[in-house]
Amino acid sequence: MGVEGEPQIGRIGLKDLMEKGIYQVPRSPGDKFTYTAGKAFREDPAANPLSTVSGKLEIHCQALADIIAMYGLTTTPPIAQYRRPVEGVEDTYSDWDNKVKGEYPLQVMNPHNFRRSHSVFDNIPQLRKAFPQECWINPLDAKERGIQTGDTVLIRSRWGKVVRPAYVTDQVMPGVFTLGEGAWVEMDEALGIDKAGATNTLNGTHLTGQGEEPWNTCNVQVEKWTGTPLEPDYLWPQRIPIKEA
Amino acid sequence: MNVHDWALIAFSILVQMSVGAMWVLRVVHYFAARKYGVEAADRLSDRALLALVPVIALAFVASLFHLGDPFNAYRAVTNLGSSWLSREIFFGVVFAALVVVFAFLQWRKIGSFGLRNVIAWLAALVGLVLVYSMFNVYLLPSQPAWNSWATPISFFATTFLLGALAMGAAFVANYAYLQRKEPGCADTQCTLMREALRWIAVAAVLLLGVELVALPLYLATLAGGSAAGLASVQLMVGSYGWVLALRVVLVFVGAGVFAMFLYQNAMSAGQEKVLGNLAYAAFVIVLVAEVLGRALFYAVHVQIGI
Amino acid sequence: MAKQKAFYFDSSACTGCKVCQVACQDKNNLPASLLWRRVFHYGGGSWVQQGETMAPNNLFAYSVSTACQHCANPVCRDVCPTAAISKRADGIVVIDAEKCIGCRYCQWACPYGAPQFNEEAKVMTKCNFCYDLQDQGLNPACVDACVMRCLDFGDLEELRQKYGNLDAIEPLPTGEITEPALVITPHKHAQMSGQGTGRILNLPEEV
Repeated sequence: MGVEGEPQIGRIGLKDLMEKGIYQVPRSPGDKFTYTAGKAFREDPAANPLSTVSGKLEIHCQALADIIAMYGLTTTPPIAQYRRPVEGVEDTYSDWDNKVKGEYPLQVMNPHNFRRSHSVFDNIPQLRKAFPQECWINPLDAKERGIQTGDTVLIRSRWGKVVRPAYVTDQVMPGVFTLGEGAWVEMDEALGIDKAGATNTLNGTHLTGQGEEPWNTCNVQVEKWTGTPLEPDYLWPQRIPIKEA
Repeated sequence: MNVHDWALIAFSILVQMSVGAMWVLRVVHYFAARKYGVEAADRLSDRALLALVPVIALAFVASLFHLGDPFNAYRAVTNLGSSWLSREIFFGVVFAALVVVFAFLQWRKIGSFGLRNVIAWLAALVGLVLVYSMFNVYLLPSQPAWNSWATPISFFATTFLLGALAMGAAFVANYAYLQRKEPGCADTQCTLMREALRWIAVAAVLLLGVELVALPLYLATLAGGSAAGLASVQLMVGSYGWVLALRVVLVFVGAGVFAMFLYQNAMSAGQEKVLGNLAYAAFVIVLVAEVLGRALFYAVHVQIGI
Repeated sequence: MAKQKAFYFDSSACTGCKVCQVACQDKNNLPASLLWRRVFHYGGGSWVQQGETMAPNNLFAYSVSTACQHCANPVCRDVCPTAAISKRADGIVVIDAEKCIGCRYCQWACPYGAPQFNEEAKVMTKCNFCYDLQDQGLNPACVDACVMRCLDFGDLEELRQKYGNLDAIEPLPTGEITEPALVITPHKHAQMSGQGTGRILNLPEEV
C-alpha cells in the first residue's frame, strides 16, 4: 500500500474493502452495539424525569415557544402546526381565496447541484460543462411562456434577477421551478442581473427566530431572455480566488 | 455555417463543374471537328479549356481549408482500400493532373492530335470516376439525408448542368475575343458557338427536369424514413425553406427560362450580344442556385444517433 | 476468434452523476469542451390534471454513459482517408493524431458521436479505452471512477455470457450499423433504441 510500519489487525484488510466496496458489521439482538436512549426514563418515568418543565417528552412545548418568542423576531406555536411561510405557495397568488396567480407565480426549489458541494468547486470548467447550472421548468409552465430547452430565461423575484439556460422537464411539478444553490455570483453591474444564477440573488433578507428557513422559499416569474445571448459558463474565464503566496 | 462547410461547398461545386465542363468540351470538340475540322474545333474550345485550369486549382485550395491539419493532407490517399474519401482525392488528383497536362499540350500544340485526344478522353473518364467517388463518400448509414439515391443523381446533375452552362459562357467569351483578335474566322466560329449553345440549352432544360422531379420524391422518401431523416426534411422546408425556395426558383429561371431564350436566340444569327448576355446570365444564376443547393445539402444533414 | 475488449454499462444503477465523464477528461487532460465519454439523460411522460392538482403520468428518466464502442465494424476506420484510425488485435480502436488531417469524415460516419474534433490540436480525438492503462494491467479511468460501479470492461463474449446480449437502449442508436462492443443492463424504465417515446433531456451545450 506504500505505507511503512506494521499492519494492524482488524476486521477486513484494506485491499479487500476497496475491492468489495462495503463491509457490513455483524449485528445480533442484544449485542454490545445495542443502545436505548433515555433508558432510565423509559423504565420508570416517575422516578427519572427528563429535564423538561413537565419532566416528560414534550410534543406540546411551551418552553420552546417562549424561547423563540424571546428572540424577538418571529413566533412559533408550542405544537407543530402549518404556518404560512414567507414566499411560500400562498404568496404566488395575489388572491389566495380565489386562486388568482400573482406577479411571481412560481415556487422555487434549490436542490444541491451535482456540480459542486454548496459552492465548493463551482469554478472548475470540466464540472461546469457536465452541469450547466440550468433551471428546471415544467412543460406546461414553459409552454405558456414560449420557452424551450436551451433557451436563456430571465428569472425575477421580489429581490433580484438572474439569467440561466432553461431545461424543460416533467421531473418538476407545474408551478414549481428549480435552480441549484451555490453558484458563484457573476453580476452584470450595468443590468443588475446575476449571470451565474446564484440563488441568493433571488432571496430577500427575512429574519426569523427559529422553526423556518426563509431562504428555502422564494417566488419567481420566468420569461424568455431577449438581451445579449448568454455564453455557457464553462467557457467563462476561470476565477481562482486564492493567489500564490 | 462555418469555414469548414463553405470550403466543402466551394470545392465540390468547382470540381464537379470542371468534370462536367471537360465532358462538354470533349463532346463539342468531337462534333465540331467532324463538321468544320480540328483547327476550327480547337479555336472554339482551347481557351475554354485553359480557363479550367485555374478553376481546378482554386477547387483544391478550397479543399485544404476544410481540413483541421492541411499539412498532413498528402496522407489522404493512403486508405484506397476502404475509404471513398481517399479514392475521391486520388481520382481528383489524377483528374486535375490529366486536365493540366492536356491543357498544356493543347496550348503549345505539343504531341500528336491522337496523343492529346487520348489524354483528354482519359481525363473525362477519370472525371466520371471522380464524381462517382464523391457521391459514394456521402452514402453513410448514419446520414439518412445523404444516404439516398438522390445524392448521385444530384451530384451528376450539378456536374453536367454547371459544366454545360460554364462552357456556354466560356464559348461566348471566346467568340468575343476572336472577333477582336482574329476576325477572319468569325463566321465559322459564330456558327459553331450557336450550335454549341443550342445543345447546351437543351441539356440545361433536361437536367433541370431531372432536378425538379428528383427533389419532391427525395423529400417524400426522406420524411417517411427515420426520425433523423424527418428532422432533415423539417429543416429544409422550415428554417431553411427560403433557401430551398430560392434554389428552385433560380435554377428554374436560369436553366429553364433563360435556357429557352438561349435556344431561341441561338437559332437565328445577328443577335450575338444578346446571346452572350443570356449565356452569362444563365450560368451565373444556375451557379448561385447550385451553390445554394449544395449549401442546403451540408446544412440539413441530421445524423442518426447521438 | 480474436478477443474483443468491450465496455459493460449497468444503466439500472447509474445515477447520472457524470464522474465517469469528468474522470476521463481529467486522465486525458481534455479541455472542458471536449468529452470522450458523455452521460445522456433520457426520459419522458407528462403531467395530467387530477381534480385540483396535477398528477404524473408515466414519467420516467434514466441515464446512459457512453464513450467509444470500439465496434466490431468500425465505420470510422473504414472511411478515414489517411488510415489514421486502426483497430488493435484486442479490438480497441485508436486514432493516430500524427496522421489525422481533421477532415471530420469519421465524425460524420459514427452514429455514437465518438470521434470529436479537438479545437486546439485541430485533429479528431476519441476514447481510446485507456489502452495505455490496460497495457499495464490497470483499469480505464471511467471504470475506476464510477461510484456506483456501473462501468466494467473485459472480453465481449465473457461479458455477454454474464450480462446478456443487449447492446443498445435509447438514446443510443441500434447496434446493427456498426456492431458496438458493448453490453448493457437496462434501467427498469429503459426504452429500446428506435422505439423510444421520450427524448434526450440534456441541454445541447452539455453534450
